[in-house]
Amino acid sequence: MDVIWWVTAVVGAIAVNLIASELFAWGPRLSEWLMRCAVRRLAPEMQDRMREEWAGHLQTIPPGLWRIVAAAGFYLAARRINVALRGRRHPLDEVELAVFEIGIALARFEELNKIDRSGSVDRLAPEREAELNAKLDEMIGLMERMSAATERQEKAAWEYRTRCERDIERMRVELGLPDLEDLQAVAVALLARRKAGNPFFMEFDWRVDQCKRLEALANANAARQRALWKEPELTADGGA
Amino acid sequence: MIGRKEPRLTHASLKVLRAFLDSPSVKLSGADIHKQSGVFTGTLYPLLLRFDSAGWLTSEWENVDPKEVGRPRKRFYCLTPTGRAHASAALASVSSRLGEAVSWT
Repeated sequence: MDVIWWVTAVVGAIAVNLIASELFAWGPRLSEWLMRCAVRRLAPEMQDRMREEWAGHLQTIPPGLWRIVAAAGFYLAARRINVALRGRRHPLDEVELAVFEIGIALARFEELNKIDRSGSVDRLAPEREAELNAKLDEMIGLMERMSAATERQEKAAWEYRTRCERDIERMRVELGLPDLEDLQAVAVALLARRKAGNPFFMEFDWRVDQCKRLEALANANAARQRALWKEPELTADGGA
Repeated sequence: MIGRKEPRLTHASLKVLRAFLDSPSVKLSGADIHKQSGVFTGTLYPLLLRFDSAGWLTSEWENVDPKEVGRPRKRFYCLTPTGRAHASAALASVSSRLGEAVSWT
């Protein structure tokens, strides 16, 4: 028995050591990834600022567990910052809200089924029937709010996609590019320039003017996107 | 930007304000404040943005070229006179309440 215990302890120690080594090796990448996820969750106008600020913060922490913890904190911070931004809700939050409401509606529906199984509605006591009707109204209200949220989401997404397609075509024409692949090449160069001076990408500098024009168009597009998402929030009483 | 209303003073926000008052003439980055106050990053940055939008803090980018220094710029925060007054008042109020509590024990 003692032998089994010792073998388990040794294997466990080796496994823990291996996991710790892997975590240490992957720490920088994992923390970078977490930070990028956090930045993506932010409202568009906050993304550039927080990307640089948080990257600067991570640089001050030695690679390891604490860097990962700090990066995980950014993810939470992104959500809190979004909540604090008045009148703004991240599209993902809208979806989460809809999913949450679907959950509540389904739970209510289940509850209704349980009540109904106790006998037909005709044989219910008046107060029980009133309770049933109230729950039904509540459920219908929830479903209506949910479908309104989904509809708004779909409409906004459709409008945004249409505008993006129109903008892409306009950018292509304005930049005098024969086809979309050239536009993609310019976009890649633009992204590369944003990656703070990676020498490999500096050969794209001959396209600086094109990049600048594309950047201006992208900023205008982002401003429209922000305006698009500035919708009234759902409130607890069902109003929009 | 975040709504301009007085920030709620929680335990974490008091710790952040204390970090500023402890180094009144120094501009602090988020990482510095994190080290000094021990407030978790998930709480710290929303707080800094709230203080910033309430006019208690000002912030500015570090005056360096990221390419030259080989790292991203830091953003430095500094208490405004309004922020200093609020922070001092809030911390004094907490200290006096703590004093009362201790005197009752």
